[in-house]
Amino acid sequence: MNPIEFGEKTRHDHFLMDQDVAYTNHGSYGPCPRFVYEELQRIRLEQERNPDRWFRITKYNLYVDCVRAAAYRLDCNFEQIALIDNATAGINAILKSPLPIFTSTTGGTILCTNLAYGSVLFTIEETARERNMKIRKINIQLPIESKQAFIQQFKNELNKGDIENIRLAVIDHITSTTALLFPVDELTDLLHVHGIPVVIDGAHAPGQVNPQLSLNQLKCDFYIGTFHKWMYAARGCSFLFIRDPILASQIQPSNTSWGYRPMSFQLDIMTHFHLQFFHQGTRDESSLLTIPKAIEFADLLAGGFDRIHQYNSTLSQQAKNFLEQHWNIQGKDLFPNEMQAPYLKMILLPDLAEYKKTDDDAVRLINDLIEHYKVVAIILCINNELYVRIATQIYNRIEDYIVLADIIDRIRK
Amino acid sequence: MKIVICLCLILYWLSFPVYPFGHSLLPLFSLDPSYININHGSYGSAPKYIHEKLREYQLKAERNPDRWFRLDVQIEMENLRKKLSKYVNCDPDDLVILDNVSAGINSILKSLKFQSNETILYYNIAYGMVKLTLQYLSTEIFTQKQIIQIELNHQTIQNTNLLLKKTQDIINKIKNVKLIIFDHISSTPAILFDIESMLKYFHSQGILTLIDGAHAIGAIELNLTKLNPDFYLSNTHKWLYTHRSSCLLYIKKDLQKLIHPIITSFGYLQSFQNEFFWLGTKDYSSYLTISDALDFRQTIANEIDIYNYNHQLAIQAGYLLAQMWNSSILISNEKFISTMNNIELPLIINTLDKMNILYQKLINQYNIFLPMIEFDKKFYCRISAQIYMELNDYQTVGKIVLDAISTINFLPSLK
Repeated sequence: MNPIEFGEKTRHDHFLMDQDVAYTNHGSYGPCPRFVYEELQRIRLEQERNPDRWFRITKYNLYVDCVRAAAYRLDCNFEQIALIDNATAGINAILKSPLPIFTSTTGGTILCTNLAYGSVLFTIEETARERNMKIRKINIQLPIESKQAFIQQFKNELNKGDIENIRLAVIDHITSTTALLFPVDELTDLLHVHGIPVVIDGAHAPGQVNPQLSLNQLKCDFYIGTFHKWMYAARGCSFLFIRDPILASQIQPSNTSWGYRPMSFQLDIMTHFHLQFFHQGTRDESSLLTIPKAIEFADLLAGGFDRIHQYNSTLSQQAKNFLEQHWNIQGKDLFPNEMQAPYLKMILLPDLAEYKKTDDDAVRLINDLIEHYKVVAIILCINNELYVRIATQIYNRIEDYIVLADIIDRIRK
Repeated sequence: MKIVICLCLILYWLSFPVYPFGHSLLPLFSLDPSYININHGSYGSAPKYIHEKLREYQLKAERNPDRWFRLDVQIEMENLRKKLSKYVNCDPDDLVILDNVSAGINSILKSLKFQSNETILYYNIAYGMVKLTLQYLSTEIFTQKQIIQIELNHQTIQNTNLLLKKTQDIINKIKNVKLIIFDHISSTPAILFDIESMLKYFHSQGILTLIDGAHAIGAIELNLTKLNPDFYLSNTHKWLYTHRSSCLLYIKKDLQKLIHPIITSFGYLQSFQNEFFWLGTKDYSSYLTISDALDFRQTIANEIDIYNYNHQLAIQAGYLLAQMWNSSILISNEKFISTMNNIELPLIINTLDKMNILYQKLINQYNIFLPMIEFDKKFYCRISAQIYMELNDYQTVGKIVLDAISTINFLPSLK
């Protein structure tokens, strides 16, 4: 079977987005291909035909298949990975669980960076408040000179001392608001040398980092990732990886429900860890069950990760080059090449008369682009400048970014 | 003149309910036609119309996800809350939509701060998930002494005065009761409680009230202003015909600042509405079908007709099965019956083992899912009525149960 032709043809044949919109923000909500969308509908229909059978029997068997497929794809063990709705659910579960790092003594500190995702920072704040803990936030200043300079900022923070009190560190794999690729191996090693467990918020990483994500090869203690951003699953499909099975048995989802005390027949085919997150009352878990089809789409229709990565990363660099030349902003990168995310690039916007360089106006610009200009882009305010974070996916082509440039130019006037 | 006659005929046609209740409504639903669903109460079933609407929302989300999540969903949700708040008679700002009652129970119980001497009361017939959440809390957050179960039996479940007297005895002994959790319509056994009286009673004692109304909305009339609870939860995918899953959470205004969602997200430290609105990226379309479910119901019949059909069918089915099995119905007073009924199983089912064997056999051999429980030393099953069901469905199930029992070789119980 010949893999699909990327670009316009894929956009038209395999995705459902409005044809006349320039879609440059795959990163936020990751529209899934028609192939997976149809699977979602099929699953829902099966759910409807005999709800009792589905909720009491069928869904568990399908879940097991999906976890196996996920574990195989992400190179980890079946017992180490559970499926969850989204990354937010994952970080909430870890931080609010009665894990020994939190309960063995009172107080303590959580280490994080200022580049963490908004709701992750909020969850850390709430956790610190509830558990009477402190937060040590490493203030990463942009631009970053080099990977070594970046790692040095972590070393500097740790050299300040009081490390025994740090219970947990939360770092990103690829940040959301700055599209920065963290050197997670070096950072994990550094933090482990100091005895600090590591949570990686990898929402954007699976399906984007090259080589493909291998949870076995990473050394972090917890990893939160998504299937619905860059791995073609339906929205509401993510995972929580916990390396240590003892910790996995101690983790509590935010929604303590039937899975807290599972039935023995359920434990025949999956672990307590799985059931805690999968048996949370009556819910529609259909999205979670699209993983096999999402993998099939990537491997068979799209021709495999290497082919996808080649296309997306090349187009991403091309689009970056084009926009930088167009607006004459070469050399203004926020970080070096080795720290650029493969499919996400931050491009400094020219001054726009109608939009101030604030978070509020960034949101206003996003909404105006959607409502009035048929462009979907994400605008972020970093260092008091407005940036567009462009994303490239197999349905994009360079014309999408040319349109983006045109529209921004129009807005400038 | 012809036009006038045409208009009259159209008005005449419009003023009659379009569909009579019973099997003729089955094609409107997506259930496998060969499956007799006597357990609508557990997972609900949404009509095809709702699924079409669901697909429309999902397609909109795929056409332009950014537009959908940043702009459209907010507008749709606001309209939805206005519509739903009219249906349950409350201020739209006092209700939010969650995934399910489980998420709501967790949000409330994990948010409330209790002093070490304050207690939570609940009844023995509380839903399993509620008990598990309480168990978790008593292990990890509070202590066992702080969470107390009140035992109800055959008598007290269908007599509000006796129930309240029993509860008062416990309150007097324990003191410092901060919160009581109870059902509007319990799950197994299924009992419709007079929560209006109960709420008045607990308010007069200054005890916070958390109502698990999972089965209420769409099954019975729900008037939150009249009831005046502190916290009220109800799953709309059970009896209101929405797609799974979505739940109404109502919190009295002055208590809203105390309760936070179990998932912290972008609304952190903002208003009640903002905190509960966005809980991470997922498909929120099922929430939006609440609006369509309300529309759908209006095309079928008046609300009161839907209530009455299901209520009467549940009662009649109960009598029928009790007669067929030569057993009894748990609740004799009809005002404690909603749209579900509890019938004692044929008396040969006199142990938990036998009950479980029968339960499994019905699933495996007959494709019948019939929830069963032991209550106050007897064994009951729970049937649900629904607008697509008729009395002969329960007769069929009654025969199947007898058939199944006759072919089971119950091993003699070992001493």
